[in-house]
Parts: sequence; C-alpha cells; structure tokens
Amino acid sequence: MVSIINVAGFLLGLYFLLRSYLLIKKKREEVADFLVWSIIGASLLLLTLVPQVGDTLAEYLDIRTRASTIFALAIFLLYLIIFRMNMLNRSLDRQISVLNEEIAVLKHELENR
Amino acid sequence: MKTIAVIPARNEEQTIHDVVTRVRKYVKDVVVIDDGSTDLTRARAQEAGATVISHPLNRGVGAAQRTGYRVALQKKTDYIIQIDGDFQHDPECIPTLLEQCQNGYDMVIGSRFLNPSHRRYTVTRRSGIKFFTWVANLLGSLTVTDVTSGFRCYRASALARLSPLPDRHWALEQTLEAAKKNMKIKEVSVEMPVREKGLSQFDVKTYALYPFRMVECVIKVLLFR
Repeated sequence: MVSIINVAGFLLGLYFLLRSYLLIKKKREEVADFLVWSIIGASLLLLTLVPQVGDTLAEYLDIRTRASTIFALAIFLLYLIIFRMNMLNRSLDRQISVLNEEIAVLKHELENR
Repeated sequence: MKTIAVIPARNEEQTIHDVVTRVRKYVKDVVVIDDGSTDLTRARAQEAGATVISHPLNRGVGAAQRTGYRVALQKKTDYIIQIDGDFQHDPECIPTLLEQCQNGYDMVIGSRFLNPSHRRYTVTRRSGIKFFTWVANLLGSLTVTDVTSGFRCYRASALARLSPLPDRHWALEQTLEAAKKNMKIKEVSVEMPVREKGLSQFDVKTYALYPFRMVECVIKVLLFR
C-alpha cells in the first residue's frame, strides 16, 4: 500500500532530479552538485518505488526498521553536506576579508597617485 | 627611528579628530583604518592629518589592524603604535610604550589593571578580561594583567613574524602567539576610562561569542602556530 510518506519521498526525489537538471542547464550549478543531488533524488525515488530495497538495507546495516535506516542515512548525508557547506562558508568569509583589505589598500594607492 | 600609529576606527566621528591630533603630537605618521564607517569618520580623520584607508565592508577590529600593520610594514617603519579611536587610550602614554619597545621589548601592552581605572568597568567585563588574561598566562607562561588591551606598541620586525590577525577577537591569539615565539612582552600602566562618546563595538553578541572564539584561538595557537 502506498503511504503519504512514500508519495512525499517520491515527489521530493523527483524535485531534486528536475531542479538540479534545470539549474545545470541554466549554468547555475556545478556538475558535482548536480551529481550529489541527482543521486539523492534517485535514491529517494528508488526507496519509495521499491520499498524492499529499504528492508534489505535495514537488514544489512542491522537497523530494526526501514524508516530508521532511511533516517540514519539521511542524517549522515546531512552531516556531510553541512560540513562541506561550513568549510566553503569559512573559506569564502576569509576570501571576502582578504578582498576587503586589498580593495582598501589599492583604492588608497589610486587616490594618492 | 621611524614610528607609525595605527588607529582602527568605525563610526568614531565624534572622537577621531581629537584622537589623531593628540596622537600626532608624539607620532607624525598616523594611519586610520576606517572599518566600513557609515558616518564622517574618514573625513574627520583626514582633516586631522591622518592617512585614511577605508574598508568597503565592516570586518572587525582585527581586520582593520591587519590592514594597518600591512601599511605600516610597507612603509618600513621600526615601531608601530596601536591605539583606539574612541579616546579610551590616552595618547600621552605613547612615549612610555615606545620607550619600553626601544629598550628591547617586542610588544608592549598598556594595562588598565596596573592602576585603579579598571574599577569603573562592569563586573562582567572585568571578570571576562581577568579570565582571558588568566588563560593567556597559563598557556603562554606569561605574567600579563590585561591581555585584551588594544593599546600596544610593537617592534615592526617582531610583528612581521606573527601570523595575520583574525577579523575579530584578535588580542588573545596575538599575545599567545608572541609568547610561543619567545617574544619579549612587557606591560605598562595606562588608565583606560569607560568611553563617554560614541558606541562601543562590544555588543551582547561579541561577549556571547568570546568563549567560543577563545577556545578556537587557544587550539589554533597551541596546535598550529
């Protein structure tokens, strides 16, 4: 029987696939990002269309239920994404600071020519 | 001996003119780093005869000082005086700091805890400064009394050996790194009254983030510097 969570998962998976495809088509996303989100989208589609995959995975990972398995995997994945975003954020923040300093000094040199 | 004064400032239009004028009695070359001010700080500092370098964005005191050090080191100076633009630091103490630096110290810190001026601070602020100073003394084998003081004098050659400052919460990191690199650090007594004009850059967020930044800076200095 198809539950609401299955439908929601299916729609979310479809959204990830379509959205990342459209973004890369408009050249607003890197191929690496497209791959990550399309893998996530495809996994969600697979898990909602073929629920047995979730059961096999739960058994293999020694987790009691399919839902817990999906939650556990999702949490690991989110940790990875947050870590990557945090690193990127830090790096961009440092670069902004360097650029801020460079612009200030160059502007001063230009004004004094 | 060439000396340059670096003044990080943000929205200090009420005080910067007087600060620059009084600093110029002791140090002719004054560089004001305007850290994204939205008032007349830049114009007031220029009127008083300072070289003004304006950050397009506000990035914090540490970032302003970093730019100031860069400019001062480019000018091949021997000593660098660092003083706040809000009159919390008395420019008349500049010769005392400079003299100690000329006596062979790499970093001279103006301390408000060597005189009664710190008693006018709130208990929270006093306790915070004392705690960070205790941490610095413990980890850096130092005997300083005011690690967060921004009134400092540096030997330029020593300052060039230190890593670039972080944008914010720079004092503990800089002092610990200097101690780790066996630099000679000295403190002199400087009265620092609570500021009367303008707005302090230390808000609730700054205080709340201080413990986290302190842990980050201790780890950074002890493991990676």
